[in-house]
Amino acid sequence: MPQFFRIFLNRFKEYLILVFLLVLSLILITLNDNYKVRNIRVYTLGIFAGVNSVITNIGRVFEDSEYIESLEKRNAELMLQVNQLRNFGLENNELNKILNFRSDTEYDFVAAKIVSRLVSKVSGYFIISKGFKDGVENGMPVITDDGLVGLVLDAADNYSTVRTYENSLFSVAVKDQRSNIDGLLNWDGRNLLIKNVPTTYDIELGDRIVVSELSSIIPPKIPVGIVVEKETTLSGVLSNLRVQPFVKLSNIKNVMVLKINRESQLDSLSLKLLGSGK
Amino acid sequence: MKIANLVIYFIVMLVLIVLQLTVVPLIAIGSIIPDLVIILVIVFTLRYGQFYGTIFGAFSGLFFDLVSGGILGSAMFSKTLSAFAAGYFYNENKIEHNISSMFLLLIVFLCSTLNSFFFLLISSSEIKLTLSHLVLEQGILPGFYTTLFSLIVVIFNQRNLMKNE
Repeated sequence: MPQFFRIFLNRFKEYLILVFLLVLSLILITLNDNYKVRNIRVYTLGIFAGVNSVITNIGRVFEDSEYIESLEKRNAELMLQVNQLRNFGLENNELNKILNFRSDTEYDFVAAKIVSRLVSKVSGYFIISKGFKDGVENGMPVITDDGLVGLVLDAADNYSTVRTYENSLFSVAVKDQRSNIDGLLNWDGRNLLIKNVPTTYDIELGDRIVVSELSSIIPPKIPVGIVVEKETTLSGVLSNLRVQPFVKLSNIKNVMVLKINRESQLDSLSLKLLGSGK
Repeated sequence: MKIANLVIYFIVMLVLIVLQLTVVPLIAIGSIIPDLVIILVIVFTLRYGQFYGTIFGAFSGLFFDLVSGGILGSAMFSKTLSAFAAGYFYNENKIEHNISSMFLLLIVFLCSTLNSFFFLLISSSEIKLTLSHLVLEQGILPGFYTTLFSLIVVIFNQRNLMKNE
């Protein structure tokens, strides 16, 4: 019997190791959200991102990084202010009687460099040079001066993983800034899409799409993109909107993390709901 | 297999992973990028056989998943499978020929296409992609791009071979 077992192992060892490793990798895939696995990932990320950071910085030796960071930060603040003003203009007619409208433009930013990136059509991730020690926490939105980039997925001490919008697991509640129609934005592997919007809704090509107040993670009014295509489904009742993002991920080197967490955002939403109910 | 050789392959793997995450995205054509790690995995498999190659593929994939921030297990799955496929081209009498001739380009093309295809298939469980999109855009094109980079390995090995002769 042992001899038979040994012969069997020798003869099929390649297949056995293949099956074992494939099963192991599939088990790991299912354990991605496990707390312990995430801790291991954060630990290795912290070690390896330092090496990546050195290589990335070699290419940037001639850049005045502090000056660029301050400019990027200022740009991001201005972008939010401009967008806020645009929004105020559109909402002015409807809201001019409401005097106690809450201000939500005062955000704290953390400027970060992109240390490394996983380029993929469906699972886009960045590793950025700021982490838990800099005040970055899981779930914080990541933006540039043009608009939304993604969300912080895991934060190590000095580095963080960012899930970009080019990721099949990324979705965010958005709205048409002109008509205030809400929808859910997803990445389908090629484009950003708002699916199943009734065709009777007032959405036109060229409309700006921003983060909706319904989003419990990302603060509202952060620009996302522009509607470039409206495709009606076979039934003719619903349509899918293709959104061209403002931020081109392949071009960016620096990002801003908005220091806002889920709880405070939910608090502010609750307060807004209370305010509108008066 | 010598331990020293294994250590060298491990160090090269680390260097290639760093390059893959920092420098390679700069030469991406859209989302199509060459995979330098899979070239190393294939060369390792052609040198040491299917059994060891499959293990090396799994290890390098796991390490890549851990440090890239991607879905843990996705690169491990695809690289294990690709290394196993590359193992069918292993011939202990033609090791030098296989890794220093144009034959390597064909193997790299086939295995890296397989690697890109399965990596995307595993990563895209949440979305619907057509088979043609998976095969052509996310399989063959990245495979072809990776093959171009494996030319460097062929040229390097050919020069070494000529020097030794």
